[in-house]
Amino acid sequence: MAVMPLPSDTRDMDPPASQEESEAVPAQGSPGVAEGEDDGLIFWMLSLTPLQRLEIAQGFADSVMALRNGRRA
Amino acid sequence: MAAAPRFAEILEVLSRHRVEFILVGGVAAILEGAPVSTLDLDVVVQPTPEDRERLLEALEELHARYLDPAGRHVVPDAGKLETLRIHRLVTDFGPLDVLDSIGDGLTYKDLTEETSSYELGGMTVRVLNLATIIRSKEAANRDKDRAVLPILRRTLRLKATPSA
Repeated sequence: MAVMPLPSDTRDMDPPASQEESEAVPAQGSPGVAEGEDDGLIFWMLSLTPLQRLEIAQGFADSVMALRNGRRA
Repeated sequence: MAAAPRFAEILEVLSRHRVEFILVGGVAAILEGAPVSTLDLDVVVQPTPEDRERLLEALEELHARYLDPAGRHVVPDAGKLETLRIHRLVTDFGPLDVLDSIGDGLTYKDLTEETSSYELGGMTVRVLNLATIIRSKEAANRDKDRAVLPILRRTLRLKATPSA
């Protein structure tokens, strides 16, 4: 298990591009950001349905396998 | 070449065979909202003879065999399911770890009250809650567990906030 970068095939579920787009995303300098953790990404994940979260997990696994097999994700 | 993981397909086969299981590990953490990644599906199963029979049928449909660096083709059978506590398998739909317990020996029975049921495309899957996932990883205390604990703990804290 590793911290997840965004899969490439989840454009319809993109997280907020900026903090202004989501009131849930804390401001820079919050404890989470200071620790190097991405609260915006967590809030975005929490906004998804369980099925969408499973699709995110699948998308990332697909990307990793594509890289392993020498193809572009 | 190893099969690419297909999480939903493995869950569907287990569910269709009425295997009583709790989804744990990385996929469970993702379903609980944590932005982590994994290539494995991990489940804790109920160790009754009836459940082992249903599990074996599901594993046969998945063409499960033990992960073996030597490349031997060893498949699960009733005896192995009864005696072995950890089954690290590869299937037609990717890696699958079937476990008797996690963390400090927490079994299916111990974990039952620590789960949520999620609807995933027509099937209901019992998923270990994030707090217990964290406790099990703290107990396991491997490098890969310690690496993700900060993001799991942060997710748990943010889930508890009103805006989450």
